[in-house]
Amino acid sequence: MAKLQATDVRMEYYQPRTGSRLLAIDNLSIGVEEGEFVSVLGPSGCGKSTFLKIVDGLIAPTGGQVMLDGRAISRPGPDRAMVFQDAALFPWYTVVHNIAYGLECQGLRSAEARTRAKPLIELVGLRGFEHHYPYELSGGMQQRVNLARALAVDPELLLMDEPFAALDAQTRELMQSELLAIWQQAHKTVLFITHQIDEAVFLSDRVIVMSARPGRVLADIVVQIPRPRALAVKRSPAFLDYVDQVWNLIESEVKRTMAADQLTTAARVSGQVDR
Amino acid sequence: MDRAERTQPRLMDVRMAAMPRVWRSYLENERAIFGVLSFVGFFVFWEVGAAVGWVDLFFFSSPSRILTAAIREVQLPRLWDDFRVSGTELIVGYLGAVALGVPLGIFAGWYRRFNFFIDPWLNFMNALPRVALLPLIVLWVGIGIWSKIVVVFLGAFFTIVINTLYGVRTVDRRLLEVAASFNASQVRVFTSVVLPGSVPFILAGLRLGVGRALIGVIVGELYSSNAGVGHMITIAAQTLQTDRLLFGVILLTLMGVVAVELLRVVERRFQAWRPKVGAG
Repeated sequence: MAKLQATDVRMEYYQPRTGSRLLAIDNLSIGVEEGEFVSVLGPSGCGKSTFLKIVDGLIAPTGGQVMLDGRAISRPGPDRAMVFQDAALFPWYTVVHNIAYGLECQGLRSAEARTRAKPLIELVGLRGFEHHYPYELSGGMQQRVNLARALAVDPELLLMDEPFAALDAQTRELMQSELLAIWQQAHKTVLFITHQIDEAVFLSDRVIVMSARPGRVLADIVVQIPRPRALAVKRSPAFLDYVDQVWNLIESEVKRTMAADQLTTAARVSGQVDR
Repeated sequence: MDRAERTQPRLMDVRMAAMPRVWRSYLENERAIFGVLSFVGFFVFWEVGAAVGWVDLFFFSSPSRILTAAIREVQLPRLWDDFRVSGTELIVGYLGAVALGVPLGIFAGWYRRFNFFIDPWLNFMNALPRVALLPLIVLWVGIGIWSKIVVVFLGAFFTIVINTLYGVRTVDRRLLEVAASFNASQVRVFTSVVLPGSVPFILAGLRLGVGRALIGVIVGELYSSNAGVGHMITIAAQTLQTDRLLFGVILLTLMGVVAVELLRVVERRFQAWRPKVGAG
């Protein structure tokens, strides 16, 4: 059995305003093997972030279940750690204190937690910034702290929710290659959420392509580009083939959501509320 | 130049560094120079006006007369008694409001149903001008120091509760999610997210509360009292001593200034993690 196994996960919301139901995730089944780097790729609004929160145990699905090492997930646990979308650092804590946060939550004394956080500061290349506050860091540096905070608790499964989406293009590229280097050192199983095709292909062993809402699996693509991968890989023909393949799958989905969005907007404008 | 100042933050650009020293130090201290000029100018105008006869001494007195009155007054033990009474009312009433208001606000912010339960009362009491209750309070506890302490307390309490409550309610949801993701205990969620997140709101409540508390002292003492700076002002007005009256007003202003400055010290202690903006 896979390390992480999601079976028929379903998430349905109720909208009090319209009285209608909204199916965000439709019977999603995904398996991730030990040590694997898997990306979940999909257009915005396909429920991929919601799925990640279900795996973390922050949200209970309305159907199906998620098993980690054969145990059903019902709440957050020390075997999983999340790298949040927009850093979400504690602005009142310094870098080292932010990284030590998860360890402190596990009951470690503050001093010991910080000692254990030290090697992670090195790992993400933030030496010299231990006692800076988040507002004194660039976006890329904040995301390194975010990553280090998750790695500090030494989780079995690392959950990453579009961690580089808010960064500028150059910083994003560098962070991707650094993440790969760190991943190779740390030997973690990673579930990575993104809407960027090249990011998913570059990082992953497997790319799971999701449909627009309600989110279903469109394809499960194994990326057979040898590791370690340098940034130059992104210009290789094999890489571009994968990107093309994914884009062809996703293009119609993106168009479909855009058309649907325009329809609802038009309906709202003309006074017919979408019901 | 003016437009550039509005659109750009003030930096020392090289043109400024090349200017004569006197002009440069003027530019660096513009704010202080204008402030002092405006303030001193007012008093000079007042004093000269009083001497020449433009300003009616009976109604407005003059700075030098107020100063003379002040020198006379500070030598009287009665003034210090009044000062002590007003100070005690302010401090006891205000600290009482802080000690009860902040915990209540946090509690109401954190427990939704408790908030729903007390919300109508908070809105009602906040809308009610609390000084309107003065006659009733005097009936209950007399014209002594306690009626003023109660008014001060009521003045500051609801402002502090409402601001604290709002601070807790608007705590960053993403950070609550981070804490939940790391399985933080309730106590840790509170100390790592809720409390630091609401500190700016709590401090704003404390600052607004000082103003309300001071109004409580003054109105309370003006309405009915047997001691205090407000009492002294009332007596001075009844005996047509404008200089003494205005000295009393200045004393009360000083109390307010001292209280706000003390709060600013507290504020600075809590705000190390904030970017420093808006200086100069």
